[in-house]
Amino acid sequence: MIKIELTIDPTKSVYEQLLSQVEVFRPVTAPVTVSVVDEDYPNVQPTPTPKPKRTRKTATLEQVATKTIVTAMTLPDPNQQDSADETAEVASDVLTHDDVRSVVGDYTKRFGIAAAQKKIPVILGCPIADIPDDQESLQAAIDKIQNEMSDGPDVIEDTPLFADDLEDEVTEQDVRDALMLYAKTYDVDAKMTNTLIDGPEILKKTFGPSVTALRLIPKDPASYKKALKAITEATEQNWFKRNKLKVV
Amino acid sequence: MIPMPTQLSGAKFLAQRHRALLADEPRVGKTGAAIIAADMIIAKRIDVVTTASGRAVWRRGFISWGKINRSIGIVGLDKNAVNCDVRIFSYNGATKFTPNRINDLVILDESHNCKNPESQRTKALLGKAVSGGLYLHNENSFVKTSTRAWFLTGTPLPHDPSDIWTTLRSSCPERLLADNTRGWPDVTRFEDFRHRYCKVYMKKVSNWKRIPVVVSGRNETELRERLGDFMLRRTQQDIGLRPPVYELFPLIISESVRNNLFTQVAKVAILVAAEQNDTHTLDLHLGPLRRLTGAIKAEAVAGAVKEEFDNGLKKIVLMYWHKEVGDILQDRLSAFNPLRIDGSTSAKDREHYESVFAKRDEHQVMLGQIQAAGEAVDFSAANELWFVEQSFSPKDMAQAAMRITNVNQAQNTFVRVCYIEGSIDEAVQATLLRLFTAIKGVIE
Repeated sequence: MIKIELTIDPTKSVYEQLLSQVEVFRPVTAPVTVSVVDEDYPNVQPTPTPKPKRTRKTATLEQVATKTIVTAMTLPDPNQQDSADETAEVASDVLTHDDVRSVVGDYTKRFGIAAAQKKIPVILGCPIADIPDDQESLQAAIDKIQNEMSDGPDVIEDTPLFADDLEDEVTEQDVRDALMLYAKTYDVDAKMTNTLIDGPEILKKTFGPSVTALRLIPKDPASYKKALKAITEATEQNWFKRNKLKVV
Repeated sequence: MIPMPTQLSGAKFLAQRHRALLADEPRVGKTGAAIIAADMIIAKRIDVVTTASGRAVWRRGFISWGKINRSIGIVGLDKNAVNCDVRIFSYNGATKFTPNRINDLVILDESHNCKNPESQRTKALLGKAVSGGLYLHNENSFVKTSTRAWFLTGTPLPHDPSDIWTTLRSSCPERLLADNTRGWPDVTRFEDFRHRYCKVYMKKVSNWKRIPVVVSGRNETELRERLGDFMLRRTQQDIGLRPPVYELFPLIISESVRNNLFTQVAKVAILVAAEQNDTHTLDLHLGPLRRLTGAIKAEAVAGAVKEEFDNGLKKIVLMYWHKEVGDILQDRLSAFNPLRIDGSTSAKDREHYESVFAKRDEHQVMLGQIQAAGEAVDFSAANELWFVEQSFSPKDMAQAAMRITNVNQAQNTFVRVCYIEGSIDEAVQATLLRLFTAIKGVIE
């Protein structure tokens, strides 16, 4: 028995990963077997069988009727479309704006999108869509970008425009959970007496006197983040000098 | 993916404009054109608003068409999607969302969904029209005055000419102003626009209330000239008849349902079996799951089909395997007068249904069991066929697909294989699609 284990990154396309993982099992050619149950089928051919055993009995009528056609057929490559596209690209000598787009795509992969947004219009002297639709202009545009790539410095990481946004998003549920943690830490029973007093105070200190409940927090990730930070701090630093419960 | 010339010209049209309406007929390739255009302007932060069933299609579109690496997320479905470069919203999701960043680009797919200036959806996306449209408050909407925004729809005027007012008011209000040299009045206000380009009569609904009802259009030439180069529209005839397009159609199913379905299956064995066309092994592993999967897919497909009809599709053929799946489809799509052919349909009825589907517009859906309706019938009145379920035998699929991709077909044809996104179903369907496409190429 052969055991096969696959490691799959849940953040990426399952389909692509599974296909690439099982690529090694894919035969280049394989017979495709089509069952035929119709006795009138005119071109029935026997299935190629291994050496017959001595004990083999004569085929019954049903067995004869259920013969198969074996057609050698090349299985399509998993990246058939890509290969076809690449072949077509190679075959085609006519440049289009799509070729310029491809080179710009390479540029962004190397220098980042932010850098491309700034530099590509400068390099080309115009937006990509405004490049005249003639072979000379398109070739010149491609050459300019490729020269810039070859002359340019080493690969630069793409710096996010708004780094804060790339952190995990904080939701209302996260704030609610933090408040429950506060209650578990400083309240003795399910009535949450201390939390009902302290919670509004924390929110008022953070957002001003008008925000006294979770539902009044502005509904955006930044505000939730602010609220979460305040409640976490209140829990850790015991803002209101409550007696901490002993965890059994 | 290599774009068609019409997609490239469509992309250039969009990329050269701050605001534009690409109104190509359905299936001319608007999605690809818009993504190519987004690459041309090197847009990083993009919000796409589309139909619920279109969200997964856009995600797949960015992966297959885009040449720039961007993170992509469906808001409301993917964790941290709001922080992705490309955020994909449904119209309902976008209505409830507070736009919280400056985008390089906003794409409104099927933008005719924002035709009603009074709807919450239009207000959230394009802004609130005040004083009948004289002013527009769009500071908190998705499409602000400074936002680069492209509108995509195959049906820019789904009901009457007034449907395009919201798009024009938000994107090019200067086109609504008076032009004394041409004798055009100012139609900045919605009612002025509607009365200029529509014949309206006030229908009495009670002694105290009358509502405007549009009976036909007028001054169409003037409206067309006003639109000018803001809109580009190509038909299927413009792009010419092409070979059938075979593609996968992702369905969004909730993660918990998806996980419950597919946790126990032997994924590697299934994929190897699918690749080697080993139907016996596929049946062994997937057989018990197929009926359940099909029922779940049928619900999602019914929703997607309704949206396709809203967006201009006339007729569709849906192929399924299990009777229960056919029952669900027939029930959910009853408003579209579905006809159904399965193993129990008599030869006489088959012929009758085929004829009725071809001749009568009110029958928009043909349901066919893959084997029973896979031969000796012609559904070329439709140019789109979806496999809600697949047969494990590629030959059945190839034959069923030929019900629309035959010599009687006068339009471009599309065959879509529906799959549950992010599951083993996706990989299996992709493999089977490749196999059946290859077989189809041989037998045609």
